[in-house]
Amino acid sequence: MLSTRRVVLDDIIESLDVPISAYEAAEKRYMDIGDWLNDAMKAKCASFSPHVFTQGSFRLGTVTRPWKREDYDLDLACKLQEGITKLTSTQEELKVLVGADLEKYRQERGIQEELEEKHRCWRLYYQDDLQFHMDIVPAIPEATDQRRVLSERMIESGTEAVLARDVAEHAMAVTDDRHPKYAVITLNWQVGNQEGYALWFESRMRQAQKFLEEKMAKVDDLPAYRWKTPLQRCIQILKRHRDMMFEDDPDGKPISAIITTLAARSYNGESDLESALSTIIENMDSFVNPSKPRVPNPVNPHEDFADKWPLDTKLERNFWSWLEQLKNDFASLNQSDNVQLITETALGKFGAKIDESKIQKIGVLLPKAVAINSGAARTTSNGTIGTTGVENRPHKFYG
Amino acid sequence: MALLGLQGWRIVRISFMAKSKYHTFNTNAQSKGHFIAEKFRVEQHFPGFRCEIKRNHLLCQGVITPAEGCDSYHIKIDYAFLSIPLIYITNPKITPNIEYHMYGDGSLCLYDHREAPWSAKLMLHETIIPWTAEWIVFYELWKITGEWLGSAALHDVNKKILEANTR
Repeated sequence: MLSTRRVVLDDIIESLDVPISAYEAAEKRYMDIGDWLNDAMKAKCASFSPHVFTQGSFRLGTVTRPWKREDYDLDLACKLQEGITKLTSTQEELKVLVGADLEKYRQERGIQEELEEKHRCWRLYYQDDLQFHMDIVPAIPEATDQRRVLSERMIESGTEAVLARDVAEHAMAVTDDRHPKYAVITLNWQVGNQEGYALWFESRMRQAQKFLEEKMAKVDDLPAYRWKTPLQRCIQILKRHRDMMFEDDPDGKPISAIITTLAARSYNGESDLESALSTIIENMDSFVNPSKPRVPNPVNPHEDFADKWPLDTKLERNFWSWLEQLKNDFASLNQSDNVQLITETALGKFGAKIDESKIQKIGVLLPKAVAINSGAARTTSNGTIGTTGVENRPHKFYG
Repeated sequence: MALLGLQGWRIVRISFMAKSKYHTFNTNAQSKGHFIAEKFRVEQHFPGFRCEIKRNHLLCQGVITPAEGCDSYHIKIDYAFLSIPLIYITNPKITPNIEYHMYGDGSLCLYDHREAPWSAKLMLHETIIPWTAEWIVFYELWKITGEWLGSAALHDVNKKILEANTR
């Protein structure tokens, strides 16, 4: 059923959604890096069959327009698919190999900003029509026995066997310079499986059967960012609300992995944004475990997305106060008799400017529509729908 | 125009004359009487509407403003005797679209003519005008949401068929 809030949520989405062209620009960026790394004349990585692909919100289709800054975070993986294993290389060697090529790439492409080393990735800044900072994670495929362990763990924690196996196929071993054995040969690398996470996320989106059936014929042929499912929309809204609430404390904000995971778990296949958001906001807290792992990674249940909470109690406090605030603000958007509260909340908490007269109009027209559909409408002598005058007879608009 | 109208009228007359001269006269009287009663009822219940009877047509015009802040809709009902009433929005100009139940000629599709066909017994002030008032409410909401929120016959079926064919 239509509500004022539904219309407001659509407007919020419109204000924070990114154009398809941003996704296409991102695609162009990582394809270019991928092509370059595969060129044996230029890149050392080329002999190890490098595969560069998106991870994170660009992969999931949950990117929100950056709040009060210009650049998009583009998370990428650079997986060397052949010739390097945990037995032949250290994490450091892999990191350095990829880094050296990226530095050469940077110079060839005339990128001014320095290549920056992070704990788990290389950061490259790129600017043409859009500004990106690209975090590129060097990786190799995870060993077969490790993949089997991951798959079993997922099945134990309730994932369907087929999905668990599919997901585990994509597991990678990734580097981390904080790892005690970063510079020596070890079989014990960190596991990264963002592609598997994306598959799990897609399985959650697919619950929206009705939506997907109505929306498009062949979802399978389209990248996730073109699906625009209620779940993706919800996560965009949640992230924007978080970004605004923690504008002055970006390091204290609940991380996207936690928000995305809890939202995807709570989601129950609702085909419209408002009821999806309602379900998610209501149930998110029930998916936070009382003990470790508090927010397990669905594709690697031993990994805790909330592993930093015990180290800094502020982080957990921030999460709960964010959720509380979100509940209040979501309720405020439903005060259809208080247009000012709605527009203020939309602007102050979600960053969307809403046309006040439109909200007012819906406030007047909706009750009329409800009366008509329930058979309670009458037509007043000036021809408007109201509670007095000629009784409206049942009929169906044709066509 | 006048000539055309006359010719049209003549054809109708001839078709009835073939049956019985008396019947034709009677039908004419019926139409006049029926339309005078209709004109009276419409203007009584909706003082903002003005009706006139012209060459076997009942023409009603009025303005409806569905709510404060919305457009005012100028409505014209053209009801030819032994035919069905045609309802047009003369202002604002609206591009016909079946999504909001407007036929290609700009007339509104207010009822399901197969399930509940028009009958001369139906009175404009009890049907067409209240239904037009409803149409305006749903059209205004359509402009905001892009969705038709009223009951609709066939609409969903049509959509499904359309989708099935474009797959």
